[in-house]
Amino acid sequence: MENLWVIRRRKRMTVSDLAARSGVSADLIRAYERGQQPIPTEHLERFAKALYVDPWDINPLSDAPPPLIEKPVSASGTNQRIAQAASVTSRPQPQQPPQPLTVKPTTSKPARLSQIEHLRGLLQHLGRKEEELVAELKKPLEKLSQREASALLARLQNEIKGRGPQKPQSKRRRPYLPESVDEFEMRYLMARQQSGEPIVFHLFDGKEVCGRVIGFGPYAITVGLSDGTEMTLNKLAIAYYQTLEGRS
Amino acid sequence: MSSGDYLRYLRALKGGPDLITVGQASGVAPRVLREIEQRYRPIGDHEILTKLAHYYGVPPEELIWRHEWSRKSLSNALEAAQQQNYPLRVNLRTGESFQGKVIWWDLGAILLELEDGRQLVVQRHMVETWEPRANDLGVQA
Repeated sequence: MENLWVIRRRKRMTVSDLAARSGVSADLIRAYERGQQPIPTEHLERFAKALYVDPWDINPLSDAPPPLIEKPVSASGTNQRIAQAASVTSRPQPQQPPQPLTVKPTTSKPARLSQIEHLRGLLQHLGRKEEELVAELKKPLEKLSQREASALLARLQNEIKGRGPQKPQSKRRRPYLPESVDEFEMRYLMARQQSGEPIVFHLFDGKEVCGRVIGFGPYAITVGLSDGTEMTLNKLAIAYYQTLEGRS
Repeated sequence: MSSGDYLRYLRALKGGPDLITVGQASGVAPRVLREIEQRYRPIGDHEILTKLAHYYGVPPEELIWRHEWSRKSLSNALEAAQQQNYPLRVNLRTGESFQGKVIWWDLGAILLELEDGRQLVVQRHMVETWEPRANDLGVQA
């Protein structure tokens, strides 16, 4: 089990790369990497997928990465790395206090106007009065911090989600792509089976097999040879094929 | 042949061990192995491909260059060639090379009409490289 930042750096990915590939915000990834909060299972799975590892390979509560050392003025790249390594390993480090499990309380910025408007909109949608919420919060909406407003928005959105009609459990629809069907080859083989015209199969090892198509499936084609015997060819062994007529 | 197809081929040459066995021996998660072998887009990075190359005893470059020739990029090239009525050249693992018009293509095969009028059904897994690539045609397929 390794820290998220160790795996990420080994894969030569930046925090932004990981954010783009996992769909988790870069700020949140930094918070996880600093060990400011544990990585929930859902995000562990996303990171695992993005980094091509298993979820249990990632430490859910990262140790903070070593601090970046300031660039020495005259040191070459190698010397710099040695200097960094030395500074990390041999210099006595002051005992770090254990990292808290929750997000550090930050200086609370006042809620954005858009957040307040969004809150009002959601209250209206829920048919609730602003006064009720203000009484519950014991402060007007304008006095909320950004973080509080954000949490409140999430709560109201969940309430709306809970009230709404359940979405029907439908199968995910995928676009029709030729690469997801094998119908063209099937049709081609069916036509040749019906016409009975001989086909020459060229195999991966240079050999050729000539015969009529008797049957076929997604992975194999059964051919009737001129001597009356049958041969089943695995498609993986076939390089290409053509009608005997076309060949001549 | 994409890196996924090539890995399946290498696994077959090794006697067909299951993905859990390959994963334990190579240090790559079986889930990732399954995705590399089955998905159309390129999966995995150099570190993973290098581990697999060591496991199968092939030079890492053999897997790395194939990473750029994924099944998805072949689909894109086929789609572009068909849309623009442009002849496509496919270079097969057997060393043979064919150029022709793409009549149809699907999950497993391509029907090419060659310049002399012959029609060939080429198996996709045999195609190593092709030209032009979809991006050479300036097509976002």
